[in-house]
Amino acid sequence: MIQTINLQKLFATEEVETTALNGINVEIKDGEFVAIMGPSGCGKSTLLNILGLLDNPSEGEYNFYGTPVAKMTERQRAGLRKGSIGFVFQSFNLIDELTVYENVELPLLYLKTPTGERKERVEASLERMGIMHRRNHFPQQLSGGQQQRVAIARAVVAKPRMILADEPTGNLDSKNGEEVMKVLSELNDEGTTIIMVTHSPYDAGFAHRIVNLFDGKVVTENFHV
Amino acid sequence: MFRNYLKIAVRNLWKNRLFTTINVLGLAIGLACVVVLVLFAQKCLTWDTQHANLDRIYYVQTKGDGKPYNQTVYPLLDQMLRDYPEIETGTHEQTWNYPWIEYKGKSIQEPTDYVDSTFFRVFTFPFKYGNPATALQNKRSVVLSEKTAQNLFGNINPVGKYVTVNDTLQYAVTGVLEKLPANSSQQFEVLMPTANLLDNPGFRENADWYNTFATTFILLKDDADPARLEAKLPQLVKAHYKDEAKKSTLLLTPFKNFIYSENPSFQGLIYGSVLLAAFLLFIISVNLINLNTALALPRAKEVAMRQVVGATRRLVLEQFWTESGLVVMVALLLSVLFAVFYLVPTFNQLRSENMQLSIDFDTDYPTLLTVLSIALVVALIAGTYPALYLMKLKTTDAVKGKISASPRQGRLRQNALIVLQFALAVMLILGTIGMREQLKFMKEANLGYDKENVLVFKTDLAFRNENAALSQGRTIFDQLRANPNVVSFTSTYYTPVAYQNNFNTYYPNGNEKQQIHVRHMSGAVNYTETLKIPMLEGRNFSDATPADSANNAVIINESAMRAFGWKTAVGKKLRQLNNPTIYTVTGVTKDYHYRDLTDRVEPMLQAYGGRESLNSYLLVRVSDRANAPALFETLNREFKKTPARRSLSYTYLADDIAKSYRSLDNLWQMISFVTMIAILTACAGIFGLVTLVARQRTKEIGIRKVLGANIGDIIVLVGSDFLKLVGLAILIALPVGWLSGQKMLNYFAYHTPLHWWAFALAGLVAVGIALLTVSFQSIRAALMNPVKSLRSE
Repeated sequence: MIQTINLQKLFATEEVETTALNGINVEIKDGEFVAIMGPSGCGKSTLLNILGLLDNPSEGEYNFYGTPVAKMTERQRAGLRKGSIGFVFQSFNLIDELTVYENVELPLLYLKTPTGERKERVEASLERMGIMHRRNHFPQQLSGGQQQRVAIARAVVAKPRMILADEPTGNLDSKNGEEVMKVLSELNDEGTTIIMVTHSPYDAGFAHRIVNLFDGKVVTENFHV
Repeated sequence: MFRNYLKIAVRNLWKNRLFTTINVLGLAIGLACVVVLVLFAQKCLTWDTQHANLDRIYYVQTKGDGKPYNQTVYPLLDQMLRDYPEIETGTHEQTWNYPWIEYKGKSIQEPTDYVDSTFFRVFTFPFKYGNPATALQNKRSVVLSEKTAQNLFGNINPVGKYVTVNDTLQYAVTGVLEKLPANSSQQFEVLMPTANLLDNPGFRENADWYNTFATTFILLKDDADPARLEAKLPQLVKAHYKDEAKKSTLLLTPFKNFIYSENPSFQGLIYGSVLLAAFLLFIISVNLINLNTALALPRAKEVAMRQVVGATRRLVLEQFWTESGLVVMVALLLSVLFAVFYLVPTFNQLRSENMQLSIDFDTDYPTLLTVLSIALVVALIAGTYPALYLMKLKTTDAVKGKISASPRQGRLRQNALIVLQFALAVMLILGTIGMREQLKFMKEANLGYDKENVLVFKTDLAFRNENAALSQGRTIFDQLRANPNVVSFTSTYYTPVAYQNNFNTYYPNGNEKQQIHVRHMSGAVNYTETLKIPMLEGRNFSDATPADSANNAVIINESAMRAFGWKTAVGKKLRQLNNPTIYTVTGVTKDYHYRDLTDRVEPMLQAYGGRESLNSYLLVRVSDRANAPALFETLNREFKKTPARRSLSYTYLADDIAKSYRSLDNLWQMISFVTMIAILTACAGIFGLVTLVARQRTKEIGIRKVLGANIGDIIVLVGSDFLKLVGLAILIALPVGWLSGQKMLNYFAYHTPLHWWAFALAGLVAVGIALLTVSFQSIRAALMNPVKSLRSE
């Protein structure tokens, strides 16, 4: 389970101080599928970055599977992040110079997974996303949907407990978007916790719960059955 | 519009303060070197151009069996003037002795040239006071340099005043010259008429049709043909030269070429400095372009937006030109300051007298304008490239900040440049280490004698009365013998740092075929003892043994003994070529370094120079260095009783030896400086490229960090390509460095080997510096919050 208590995030420049998150309390259980919604600038991505251990809150507490992480250094967070969180971005964020296979392999390289096991897991992941036949292509040779599938293959290859998806269908047409959402649902069915930021009510419909943010605060929480 | 450009330029440069500083400093140092090199080349190219008649001035060279040399027999000029009407006039320029000149109790001795009264008709040297046309017409006249006049008379106009020359003769000061240009082949302090030389019996004896020591300059008439005149010269040789010299050929050479024949390396220096300046300019320009492109990348959006709202290509270019122009101009200003206040003085300190540089804004403005225009071209190029690169990006992508396109076409050029820069740096580092080791080796080498605790008194004090001086000298010698702190002393013409090359041919008496070219030195009593030069056999010269004088005793060194093919030499007889005297070997020394370690120890012979006398140097070995000041006080008091013009001074032999390597020390400093510049430019180059790469790969670095890459991974990612290039540079540089290092060391007869660790060190320094440069930017990239880099989407 992950839990935030009175989470705050301030962005300060020389002249202005902006409150991006203002007292966020959320609790996400293992295996949950949570959608975070809200208008632009309400703090969705900021919250996702903190939940994904990419950023620290300015104040408040964050328990990541029992470990308080709010005051951790980047190095400590990186250690914890490795292997336990997978990321899916709206713009896929694949590395242009690496092939599909190499992109997916990357997290395992950083986890120092032995070669044999690495190969097995990359291939299994590519197989599962249905892009095995594209393994030697470069990202720019793929369609948007295929690129996002590569990104998801990369997110799951290390078998993380949690996947964070930031508008995963934002750059896709409806058909490809639908497919991506199905994949995420399947992963969730298999036990992976999924936290997804989205503008799309349709995509949010795949989640168990929707957390609505406005001006850095949680305004409502809707549960699907 | 320009104000707008300037405002944005200043803001942008301020925003990137670190890069601006690196850019400006790197450029300033590079441009300062270019300024000095261009100035040097300009000084060389305009050598001797101050003479109004330069095109008509020729000098006469003599060619025997070997290369032509710049001297002739002394009577040649007068004969040529008599025989050939196409010669307008001519002059000698002789050095013979440096007379003492006194005015109101102040005595000086300065480099003096003897010239004919026509000297200033041939050559143009502006006068500060006096009239060049008449200055040297009177035999007892003297023309002084500005510095010497100032030294002797202060700030007054001394023309018409009388000075006393060598205590006896009155000479009228007839002229004071303006400061001589640094790039004049002729540099002198005092000019006197050659008529004075002919009063000197020694000179008269040599001024015949055989001895070739005179310098002969002629000024041809406007319509004269030098080739036709040269064709007439063999006739003159035939008619006047002594029989032994009739084989000589005389050549007429334009004075423009004088400097090239005096300094054979001169042309190389000009080409070398121009090439080096061009190479340096190329490197700093490319470095500037790379760094500017790196800095421009985040501005893709700005440029795109400018184009979207209507900026034309020219307007964008103007904006970038303003920025690079600003950087280059600030750098240029700094570079001139750096050159004026540091580089030129340092350069002059390290250069010999006649290569002194100066920056005179009144006369050197063409050079400075040249450098200014070069700088403007650099600014133009350095502004154009990044602007064109950014304008090539797809506007729609650039507006969104997408700059995935990388300027790949320049990759090979960039890589080659890095390899070149680092290979050069490694070779120079190797050279610096090699040179330092060699200097250390020479300074610490066993010289074959004991250089410690030896005081060198300069006793060549320009005595007014030699006999009175010698008489007092003998008293001083007796005092020294009685001094318990003095172990030994010798009065000599030579010291191991004041050794003059002097050769003679000797052969064992009765075996004329076995002629050996031997270094010849006038031997002084106690020389070997005082320096503790070990004797292999026999004994030192002694005044107590009258036979030394009667037998014409000589001491030879081990090499000489071997050269004569002897196993033992004491008692053996030698003869000098064309000399009936028979010499007797009384001692053989072990080989010792009679001069520095540049040359091999060759066969050397000391001929007994007569009874103890007052010679140029008094070498005194003391029991303890601490006694030196007291001994000096005593000797100084005694020498003040002699009719000396100079006062006594002393040094330590060990210090003199260390100082004798000063020109090599200077060379080492120069190499070190060039090495530093090479390292700095190489670093600036790699820094710009690493920055460029780090910026191009910002997104990738962010993704990798999100996926678990740590700082080390990112440094390897960004830096490994560059380190590979540096590795390649080292691989190229080491063998080349080994070969050139060997060549450099072979110049020294005794040299240190090139140690393996020197190569390791040079490589390590290069890698270390590259790593430092690369790491700085890589760590910055690695520490960047990935959230920020991904947000750049």
